[in-house]
Amino acid sequence: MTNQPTLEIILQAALEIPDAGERAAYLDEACAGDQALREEIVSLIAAHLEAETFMDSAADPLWREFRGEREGDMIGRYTLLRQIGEGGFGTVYLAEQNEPVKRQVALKIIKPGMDSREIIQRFETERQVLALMDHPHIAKVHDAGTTDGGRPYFVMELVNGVPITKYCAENGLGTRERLELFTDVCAAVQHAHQKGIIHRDLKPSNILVSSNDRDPVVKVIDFGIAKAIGTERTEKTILTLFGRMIGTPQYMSPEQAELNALDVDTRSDIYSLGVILYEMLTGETPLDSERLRGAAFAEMQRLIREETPPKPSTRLAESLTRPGPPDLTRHGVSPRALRGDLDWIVLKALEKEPGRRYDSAGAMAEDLGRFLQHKPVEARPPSMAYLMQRFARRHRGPVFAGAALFLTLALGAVGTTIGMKRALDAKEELVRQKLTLVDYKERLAGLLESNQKMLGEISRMNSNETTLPTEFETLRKENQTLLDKVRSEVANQERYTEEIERLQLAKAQLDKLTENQRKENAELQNGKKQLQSKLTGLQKSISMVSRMRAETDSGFGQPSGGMPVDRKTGEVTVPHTVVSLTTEQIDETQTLGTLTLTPEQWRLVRTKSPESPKRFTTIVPLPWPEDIQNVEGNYVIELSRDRMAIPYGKDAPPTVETVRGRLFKDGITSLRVNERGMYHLDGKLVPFPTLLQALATPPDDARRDEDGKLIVTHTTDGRKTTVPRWLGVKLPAGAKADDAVFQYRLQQIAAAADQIGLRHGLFPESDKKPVSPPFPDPTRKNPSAKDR
Amino acid sequence: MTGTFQAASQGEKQAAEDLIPLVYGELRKLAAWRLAHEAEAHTLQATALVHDAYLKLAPGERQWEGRKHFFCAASEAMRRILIDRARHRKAVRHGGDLQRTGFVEDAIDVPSAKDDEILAINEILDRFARIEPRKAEVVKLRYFVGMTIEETAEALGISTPTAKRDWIFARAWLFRELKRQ
Repeated sequence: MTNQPTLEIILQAALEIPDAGERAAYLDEACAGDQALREEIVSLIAAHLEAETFMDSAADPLWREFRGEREGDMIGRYTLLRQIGEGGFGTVYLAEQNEPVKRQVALKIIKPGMDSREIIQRFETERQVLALMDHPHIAKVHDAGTTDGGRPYFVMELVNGVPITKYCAENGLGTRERLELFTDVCAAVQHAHQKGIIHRDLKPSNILVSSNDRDPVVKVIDFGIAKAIGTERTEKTILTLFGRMIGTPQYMSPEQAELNALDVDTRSDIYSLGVILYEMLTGETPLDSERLRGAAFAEMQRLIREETPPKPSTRLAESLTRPGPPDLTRHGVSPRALRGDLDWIVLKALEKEPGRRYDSAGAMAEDLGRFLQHKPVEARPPSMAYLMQRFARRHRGPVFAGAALFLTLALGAVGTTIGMKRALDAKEELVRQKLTLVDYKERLAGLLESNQKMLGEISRMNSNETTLPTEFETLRKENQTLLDKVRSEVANQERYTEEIERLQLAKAQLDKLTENQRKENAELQNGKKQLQSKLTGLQKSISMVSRMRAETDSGFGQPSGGMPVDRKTGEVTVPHTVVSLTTEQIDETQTLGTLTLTPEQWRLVRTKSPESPKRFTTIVPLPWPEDIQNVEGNYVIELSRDRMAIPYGKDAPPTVETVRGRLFKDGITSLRVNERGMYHLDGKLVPFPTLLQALATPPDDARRDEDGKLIVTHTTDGRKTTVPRWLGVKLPAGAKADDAVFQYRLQQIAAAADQIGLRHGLFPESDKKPVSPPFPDPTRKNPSAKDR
Repeated sequence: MTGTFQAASQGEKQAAEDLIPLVYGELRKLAAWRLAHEAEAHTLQATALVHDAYLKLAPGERQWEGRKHFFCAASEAMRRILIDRARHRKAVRHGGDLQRTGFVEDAIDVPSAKDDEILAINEILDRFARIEPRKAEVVKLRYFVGMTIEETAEALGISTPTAKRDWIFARAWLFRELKRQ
């Protein structure tokens, strides 16, 4: 131990002597013959001299890491010059490289604290892929690495440019120039996609345009970086973005908006491209950024998934008419230039379903190329079938209801169908549909328009008259389909007068369009006529439904002029109802409906099969009031040979027999009528045909007295008495016998009573004019009737 | 906390171990705070930071012994961090499934020599500490914490020339030892 300080002191002293000879002399002297000590010191001196940078503090990088990067720091072999950008995850620096070439680069480094192990892992695998990209419109990734602290960074080509949308606006580019720039972007994206690299974060600030006195050059930056450094817009990052109010989800595809964005592929980039093109052409993104920003996460997801943006031409036209200072963005682009093909190209890229977008960025670019060369483009307005399908998927219930209503309309029969009832229930849903319908109208108009365009194209391309008709036939068919769909929509929506107004607008639009068509080609005249007649039919249907609605509101089951009754047979055809009903004895009931069974149903009913439906009443619209739906228990409706329906069973609704019994054998003959004109006997609802039939067929033991009045032998209390009958009908409070709702049936009742000589206070037998109330109150009159 | 230090001063390794995450977190926070408030602080004063951390973690502890051992714990913490980092980097670099395609320009990443050095020194430092405990402390503070000679001397309560001599000796000795291996 004693010579240790000595050793250290000698060592330090020896190291202070620069000359080797002098040092050796000093050691000889200091060690004083201790050879072992001298050797030790010599070897340590040798080690010291050789060590040079050995054991320079290892902690510096760590301290730097604690501190984060700053200007002047070295990362790898890059000197940070200044910060040029900052995001939630990374910071971008302008950096300088000296070796092997001197140049300036952009260095993007992930922020301290964002470097999870997972991210670093992914970074390692991704960075190698990025080196594969080599395209003039993609900013090159020169280098990548990790800091001493282990945080990933990328070194990229420095692009001195402005975001593409800003460039277009500032330079007032025309439509063609914008599209040409955009085509370059597509080419870049296509290149990366072919290498299997998805950008995942395409937005204007990642697409820069630089112009160095020459033609503008587009560069896509940050390709694949999102995945490599884990800044993909996953659930977490979206939330982060929102929490911090940075970034925007406007460019995010529906599949990226999903919580577990597993389906993200190249087509997600196509969607983002669609958003960017939309913005380049209209100055606004398809989904309103303010709205998205203000929305809660779930609402934002819903908007991205479901909200269909207006066509670019529509959006641009709207924003041009909006008050305020003119925006530079719109300079050089007119809604006119967008209408038609460009609309469809953009909307195709923006399809919610990836499979309906362009297959590739290349395909989109090609379509744009075709547009620029005035060739027919691939993108078409979505087919009606597809639109309907999508519509139906979103509004399942109401669509069925609407379809049922439409069927009713088409067949010209009107009744309260179950479908309509459901449609009423689905009122809220319908209101939502209305909004969607507006968009459909636009698309329909677009379809017509593009048909028209196509016609022009055909006539230009093909002067041979003989081939024209088939072309037009196709077109006409297309138009007809369109009309059918419009009508179906109308049927769906007609309850809303607002909607009718809108349709009239649509009609006007269609008229105008057909007018143009006529100018172009005489052949189209036919098409127009057809459209016209369809529309007239449509109008009729609309008015009919309005009438029907008014009737439905005012009274139940009142036959009206709007109801096509076959005067010969008295039949009214109601679609998709099941039971057939007629009566042979009472003419009036014939107006209540002839309904049709399917053969199979008829077989089941006839054979009294256990599979036979137990409750036909739920689907027979008129004679069976809906109250009967509430009857519980087992009964069937038997259809006799004369197609008379007779329900039986202990829970069956009142039959002719039971009603007859009540009317003639019991002491009470009081009928009550409710506001809807439906008849109740002893508080029990009686179908009107049954009532009439029962009234028309008095029991066999009834006889007439000398005045011709009906007398029934009554067996109550075991005494055999003759009871003259009095028929009383009580109307709802305040109602009058000559109210439209009641009059018709009351007259029928009165006539039936007169027929069998049953007295009543309804209408005098002599003239058939209604008698003013008060009607005899049956509950009060019956005892007095006994006296007679 | 004081108890922890005292335990550490009694040479209980486990107590030092317990301090490490505490110290690490504290150092990091302090560094961030300094960065935010001292725009001019290009180089962080390691001692100042460690000292601040010490005051914060051990408010009642004013004796020299406690403070000295806090620095030991801090240096131990820093050492662990650096070694973990170096090991991880090495694992990634030599990592099985990762193929280097290399960028067009040249190879990526910092040279690995420093990582090798850190790991090598770590391995022989324990042996050195058995022969020269005080000098090993000097090495830890200088090498793993990045303290200057003066700071090291103050932290260990020795004179600056002694600290300097210790450092020269330790550095030469370690280097020679590594070369022999």
